[in-house]
Amino acid sequence: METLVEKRKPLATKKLKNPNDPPRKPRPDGKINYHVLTDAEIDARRNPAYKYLVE
Amino acid sequence: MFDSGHKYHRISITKVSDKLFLRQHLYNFRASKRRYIAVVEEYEFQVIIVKFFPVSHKLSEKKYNVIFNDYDAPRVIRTCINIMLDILSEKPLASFGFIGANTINNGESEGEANTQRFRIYTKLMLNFFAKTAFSHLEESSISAYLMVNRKNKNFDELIPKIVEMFQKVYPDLIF
Repeated sequence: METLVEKRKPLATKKLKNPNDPPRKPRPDGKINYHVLTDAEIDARRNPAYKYLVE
Repeated sequence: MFDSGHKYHRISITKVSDKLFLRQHLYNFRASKRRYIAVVEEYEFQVIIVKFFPVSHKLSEKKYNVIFNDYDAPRVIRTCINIMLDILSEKPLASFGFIGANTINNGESEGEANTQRFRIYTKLMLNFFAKTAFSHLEESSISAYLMVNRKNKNFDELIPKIVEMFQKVYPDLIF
């Protein structure tokens, strides 16, 4: 007898595409390139409504 | 938001027999719907990494990747920030770092670059830790963040040393 319910396919793990993702390129020098945030970048990105916990 | 945390307790300090990874401090706290463990890893140059996961997932490989709809994330995260402040009062020269783990939920996995956790934690570090006290460094392609304490005497020389140390500790971060 045929079953009317189809077997459910196992859920595949898929990567969510994040539009903010920078391109992932292999590092030619094999090093992590940390970017030191400048004062201007920090000021632009922080919310002045928050008070500093450490100054 | 993020103005109060949960009450936490330090439960242990373990010496680690590793050149770079020196000690592990364990804390626990009870959040609104579940209990958490915060792991504070202490590395060379007084670099501190704070991690946290729900106790219910302590044996899971994805314990740092799970996400819950408890509406309690701000207080849980603030608890970890309070632990950082506690460490800083004990070690005034401490520097901090973290990796924003990618979320894995319902069989779907977020990419490892510029993760949701990385974006939230970065914003909080910029809001709570002044640029006059710490130098802020980021590498969004691996969702890594470092705050190097400016109180260190050899501050300028310290940054490349810490970066180099992390490459040794987490070689899989380099791709």
